[in-house]
Amino acid sequence: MDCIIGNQSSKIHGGFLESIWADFYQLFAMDIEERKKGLLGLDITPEQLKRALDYLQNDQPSSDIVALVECTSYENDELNESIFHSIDLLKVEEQICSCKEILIKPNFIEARFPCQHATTHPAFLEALICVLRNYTNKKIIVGEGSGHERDTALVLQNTGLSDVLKKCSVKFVDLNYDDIVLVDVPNPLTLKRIPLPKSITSADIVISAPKLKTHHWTGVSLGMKNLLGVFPGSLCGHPKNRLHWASLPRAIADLVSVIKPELTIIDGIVGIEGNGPLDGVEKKANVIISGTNVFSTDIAACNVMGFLPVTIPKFWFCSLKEIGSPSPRIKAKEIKKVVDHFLPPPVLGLLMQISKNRNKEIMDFFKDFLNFR
Amino acid sequence: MIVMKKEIVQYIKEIQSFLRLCQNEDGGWPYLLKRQSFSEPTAWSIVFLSELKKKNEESEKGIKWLLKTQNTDGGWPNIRHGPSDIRTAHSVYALTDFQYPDQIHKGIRWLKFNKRLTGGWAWCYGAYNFVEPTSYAVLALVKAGALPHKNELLDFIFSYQCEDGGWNSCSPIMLDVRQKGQISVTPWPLLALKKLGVSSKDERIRKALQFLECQTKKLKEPIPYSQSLALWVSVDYKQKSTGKNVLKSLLEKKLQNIWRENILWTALLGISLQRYMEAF
Repeated sequence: MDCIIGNQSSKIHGGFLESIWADFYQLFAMDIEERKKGLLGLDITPEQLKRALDYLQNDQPSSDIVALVECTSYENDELNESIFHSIDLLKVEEQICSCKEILIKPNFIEARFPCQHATTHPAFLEALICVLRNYTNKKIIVGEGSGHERDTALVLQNTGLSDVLKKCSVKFVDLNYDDIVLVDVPNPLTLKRIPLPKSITSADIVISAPKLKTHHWTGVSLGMKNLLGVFPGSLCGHPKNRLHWASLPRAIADLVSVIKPELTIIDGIVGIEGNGPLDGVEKKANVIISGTNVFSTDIAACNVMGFLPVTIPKFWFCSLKEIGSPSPRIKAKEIKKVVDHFLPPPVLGLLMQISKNRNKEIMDFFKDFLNFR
Repeated sequence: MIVMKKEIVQYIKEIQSFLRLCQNEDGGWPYLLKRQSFSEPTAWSIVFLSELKKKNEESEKGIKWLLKTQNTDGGWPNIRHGPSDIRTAHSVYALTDFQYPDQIHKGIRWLKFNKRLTGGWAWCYGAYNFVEPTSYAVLALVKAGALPHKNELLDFIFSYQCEDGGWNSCSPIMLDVRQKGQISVTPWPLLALKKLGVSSKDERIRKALQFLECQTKKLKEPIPYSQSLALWVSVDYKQKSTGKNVLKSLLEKKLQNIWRENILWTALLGISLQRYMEAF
């Protein structure tokens, strides 16, 4: 983290700051076809792809733990119990007890209603806050920067979040309009520095609470994709399209290398399949998936949805940065039935339907589909 | 209406006092109380305060901040020392009421230079062009008397209209799926189209106004950002009864709650109320 932009910035030479920003906003010398490949993450070299696939198929036991807990409804009691079990399986109680401030980042990309299942369910969020309160009386805030909607009041109203905030006496911070901190990205793939809301960088614990969804550009929308919401709309606008053209899977990998949520807890009770994250079909999966490493948690969630992580480009780029383990230790509680496979999203669907860990098949797909080199 | 008029006057006075209080020491305004200054809330706060009283200390301080923030390429960043982006349009819009021809000229030049070949403007460098940033640019360029390619812009804005009559922040069709309009986005292209000379008799505008009216009626609680803009639209398109309904709903919300939520919304509410008072 190298500087805070704001009142403090007057001490720093303007030209220096301009060059920092120029890095973030660097326009790629790509034609439109190259940009489309970048959007999907198909702009990877064969060497990088091979390295990523090898990493993803490494089944060495890992210290990353992912908890799978059955939860069949948004009823208070069942939710509370399931979230409590998740935290118990992950053994993060001590960390929660000792922190000063927790920021929960749900997924409220648009002003959708809970029944549409495109956003984190308000009952899920309420139960999460309630369980956290059992461990700590320290400050809990909810922070979100809606990607498609400038009117935060409407987002809060329609998603049911405003009722939760009132009921739980929890403050909300609009991450689109917060103070901004520039953070250096280690080994950047597309973004050398990332502007982040100060509330994210100052929280002791960040909890990502996304929904279990497919995603038309990135295959799946889980813990890592949820973190894109922290990019300030005050800089990127709405939609946060700047990141799409910066090569979305690469941007996700860069972001996840600087924001490492202490806990990712995915609302998979009802998710979205097919043309997600907004135009898909609801899918009852009856599961809460949680973990302390966002990459490992997403890998596990992806498997639960019936997709092979090796077929999803954002995992390739995260693998190049070795962000987490591709084979986390799974702790499951009360999972009686295997979740039916989710329908893949249309754009990456062909790739995601490859059903076995076959590097050659994935490489061949590229040759055919993209005339890849 | 008389009771409402008194309330509006009182509301405007309170907004004025509030904006004075929450101005940062550097002269700019933040989005959220006691945070850093951004050019967007600064520009709209200046517009509101100077429409009430042309010469005032707060606006002058705000203008100084804006002038200091202008980049050497002529554009404005939203955050000081950042790269120029579409907020240049807000700064040009605010400064056009004052005598800063060089700075305005440079801002206009930046806007014209950064118009995309495929039509319209993007939010920022390296992003795709959308209807909302395009509308900001149209409003600023029309106010500054420097609008290029009127017909092309009309086509661009209408090409983004959704089937339901509204506009959204993305595209009307996404991977073959028709998308819905958004209440927070629709007012901006409507304001821009009015400035481009399209009347409420145009079928597409009529549909958009209906969409806006229908969406505002559906709201459970007031939402100041979108409703302020809807009020502004009702003034521009002379939709008195729609405006009155929006106003009734808006005045239900305690002003201090709006301040706490977002200062930009407060400034836009002030502008819309002021325009409503003048028009009706």
